[in-house]
Amino acid sequence: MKIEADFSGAADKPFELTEEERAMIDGALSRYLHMDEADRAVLINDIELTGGFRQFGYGSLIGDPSSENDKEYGGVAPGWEKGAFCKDRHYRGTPESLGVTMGALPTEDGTGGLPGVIQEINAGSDDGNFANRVLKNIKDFALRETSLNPIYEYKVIDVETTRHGTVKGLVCAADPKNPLYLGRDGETLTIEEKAAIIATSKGVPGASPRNTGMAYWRDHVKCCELGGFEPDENIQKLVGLAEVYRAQLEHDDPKLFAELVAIEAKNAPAGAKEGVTYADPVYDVAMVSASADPRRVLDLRNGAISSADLLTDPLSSADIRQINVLKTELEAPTMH
Amino acid sequence: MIGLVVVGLDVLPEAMLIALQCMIGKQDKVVAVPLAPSEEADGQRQAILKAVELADDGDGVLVFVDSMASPAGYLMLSIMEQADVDVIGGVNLPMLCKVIELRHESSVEDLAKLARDEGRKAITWRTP
Repeated sequence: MKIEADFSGAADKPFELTEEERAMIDGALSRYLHMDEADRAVLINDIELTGGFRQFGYGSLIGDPSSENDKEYGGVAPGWEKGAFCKDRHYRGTPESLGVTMGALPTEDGTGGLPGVIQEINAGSDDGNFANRVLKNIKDFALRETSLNPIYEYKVIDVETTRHGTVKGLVCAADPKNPLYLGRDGETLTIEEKAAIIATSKGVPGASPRNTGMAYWRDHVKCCELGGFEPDENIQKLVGLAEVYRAQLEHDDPKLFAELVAIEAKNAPAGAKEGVTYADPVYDVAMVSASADPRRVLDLRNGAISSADLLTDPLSSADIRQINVLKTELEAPTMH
Repeated sequence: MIGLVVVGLDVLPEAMLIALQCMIGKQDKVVAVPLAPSEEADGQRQAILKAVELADDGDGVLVFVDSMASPAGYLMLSIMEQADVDVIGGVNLPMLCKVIELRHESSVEDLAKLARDEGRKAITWRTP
């Protein structure tokens, strides 16, 4: 369905962007986040209707916003779910050996809900520089999400909150058209194959404090538990399986095991146990081990590499040149 | 008067309140909650809820955490509605000094904005 922007009621809106500001924000959403016209129109209309710009984080964005914000609050996106839906060529994998990371998709039956956090900037606390702050937010978001690991499409979705009603949030969604798309368990890889990749993958050195697949997914489960989010059974099972495979890896490939554990130990804060970023995982490894595939982790990993072609960077040299052009633009100071 | 609770890993909350006391003297209704990494999450939640109760004299409580990306930040996500408190991440001494000064005359919302703005303003880069 095509949604046209309707600015005719601008006089009734609490915040009115100038034509120039509207074009600036629309241009940034198009150029840096490649958002389609309908979603751009919905987002810009919402900025004017509410005087606010909101992102919805359900993964690492929850505790690590891409930009400064004015306010954060919890919410649930009805009809959406998260999972290991995307390949990763930077943070949890490399262009030479891709990893597996989080994405969100609409649920197949339209039920359920994705818990997360809204991060909002608003015109109310601003000194007339609101449009430029929105632009900076979009650019910071793009620099983090699209400049090295362009796996998502950016959608505007409804998020239900306790005290702020239903708000619209900009969200990173898994994109079935993207060559870095993996999909739900069984779509390209089984849950066991994804777990084997998570247990054995590492990101580009220095790309992230959670620089192995295992550290990222462990942290995610722990953060959701601390945050009181409804446990996601698929993710709990996936990470539990990955723990089993990681333990197997010590025997199957001691060198790789030692390398991954060393990366995790280097990034772990003081007081954390070996291999765990800051706390024990909450899933019961003994429980999931009963359902683990009896094949060795390296067999599973090799099967996954073969089924999902994880040793081929899907980005062409032309894609990478284009990404580098955008990255240079995004890193340049904003002059307005 | 709005109560204040500081939650963070290990000795940070207590050390911060000791430093605060050195700067502006002993304060009422200010409570530290140190989190040990090995503690169970439910026990940590109970400790925070108890601290909020202790700090509250009826005008509300503002909670400060070491970082929104720390266990304290995540734990607060799970109990902020139950505790009915607003949370400020990235606590620092300048923001605490400012809220101590103005907590008798502000609403929780105004005090939260003030804390955030003062905390941001206080982070500066000085070079030789």
